[in-house]
Amino acid sequence: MRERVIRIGEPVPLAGIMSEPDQPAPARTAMLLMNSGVMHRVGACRLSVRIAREVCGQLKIPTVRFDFSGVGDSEARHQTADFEAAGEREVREVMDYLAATRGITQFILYGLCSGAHVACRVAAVDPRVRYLIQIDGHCYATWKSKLRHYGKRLLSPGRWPRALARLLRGDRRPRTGAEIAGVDPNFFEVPDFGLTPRREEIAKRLQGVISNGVALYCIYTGNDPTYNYKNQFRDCYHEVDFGDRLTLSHVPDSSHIVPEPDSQIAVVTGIVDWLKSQNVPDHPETA
Amino acid sequence: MDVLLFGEAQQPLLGVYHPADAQRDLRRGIVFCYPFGQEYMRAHRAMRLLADIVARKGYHVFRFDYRGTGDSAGQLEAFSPNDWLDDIEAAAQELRDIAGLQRIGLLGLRLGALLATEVAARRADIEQLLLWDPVVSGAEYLTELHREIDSKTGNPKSNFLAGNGDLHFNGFCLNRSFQAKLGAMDMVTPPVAPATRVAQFVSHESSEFDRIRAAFQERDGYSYHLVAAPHDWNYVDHVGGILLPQPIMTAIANSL
Repeated sequence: MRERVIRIGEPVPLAGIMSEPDQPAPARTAMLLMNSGVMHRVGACRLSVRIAREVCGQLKIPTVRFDFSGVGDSEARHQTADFEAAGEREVREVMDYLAATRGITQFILYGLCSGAHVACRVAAVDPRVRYLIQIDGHCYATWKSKLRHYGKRLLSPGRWPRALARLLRGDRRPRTGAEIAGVDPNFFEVPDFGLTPRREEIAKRLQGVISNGVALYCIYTGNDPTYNYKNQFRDCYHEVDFGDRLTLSHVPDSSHIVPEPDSQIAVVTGIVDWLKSQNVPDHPETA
Repeated sequence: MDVLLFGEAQQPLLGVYHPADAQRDLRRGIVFCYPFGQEYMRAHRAMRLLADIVARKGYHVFRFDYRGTGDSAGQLEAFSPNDWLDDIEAAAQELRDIAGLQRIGLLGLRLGALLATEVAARRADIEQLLLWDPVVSGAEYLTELHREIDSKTGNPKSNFLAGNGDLHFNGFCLNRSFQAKLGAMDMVTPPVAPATRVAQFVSHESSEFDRIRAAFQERDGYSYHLVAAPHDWNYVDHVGGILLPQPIMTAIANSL
């Protein structure tokens, strides 16, 4: 495997790293890896680098990890679109670049959190996307997940006195990223995700993804305690006919940015194994 | 800003070159030496913005990822801090070659400051050394990580000492050999060339910072700057937030 720096677009290019097999064969498919929030393209705990290199090394699929404008090593562009809309435009710009320079016609999109949101958005509208891999993409509590979550809390005897004491003290849970991190917000930068979309809006988007024939692999970490069983995603979007195009994975021992070594192995192996099962065109290492 | 690969073809390093503002070009360069692990993740944006500011002041700036980190080749477990000293030298040479410079300085944040000092002691041609909240001794840094692990305040699945001696902390692993070599590094031990100007920027007071001050204050051109600013780089939150401690970034830029 070898890597090269690529610059995409003018006059303010996006910075990216392309991993290619040592002996590249004509390939129709490439994988794009998005930023997560304000983290640069290597990904939280270098996860994107690991995924990009494993997918390229094992499956001979070229991969591109790149920075959205204003993030990492890509300069800011003058634009008024919100993060997701700008991200969608820039993902399509990278796809256009790879189509023009490498003849790539099909894409695997990968993203964690905000990267997953952008990837899903693109997969719903661009027919070149054939595979979508999301870590902690949009999902909402279901009656079953609420029952599991609140049931456990209600039945925990130690929780009641603590909750009462908090109530009497008037404690408030930290809400903002800066509060959670305990950092002066003037010196702290977190992505602005805007408003959480309505569940129905995401369901419609996912229906678009499936209607486009995209195969979908969703991983959920233990970040959100109200995501607490493997098939919650399918239950949450019950009106979407996923058929056999959806694969779910739940890694409850993992934090959102996947710092645990065991979780990193589980996530990377899970992605490679899922792609292996997908019969990616021109890649005999799959299926 | 120009993103590029440099160094050995079999093991390239990722570098980013910020050319000096053409109207103010001082014909001087500064290599930025990143901190380690989660601190690197949290500091990348601050270092990039500081590089932009410093380049506007007329310096050529070069940032890069050590072997086994960021976008550079290899797995972290295969390398040691000593390899990273070679990488700093390679980055300095790359900056000399790209910009045609003779005068190079090093700026290091946290562990990067300790590594930069080691390199400045190896060479006589480093004109200035800028130390930002430096890790003063490798042994003390490791003790700090062990203390965090023992306090059990963090995530025990990501912060732990494995049976084989590997130290896992916030998503990054320091194997035994790495720890041994890091543990032997101490900022006040290597004799930095007398001609190298040393500036120390600290966001808070500590006995370790005082130890460097005591060791370096008799040097010609030494300066010490205490600028209160957030400094806890080695933390993890679920929002992926990063630090931008503007006061100290401004102080560093203004000192140049």
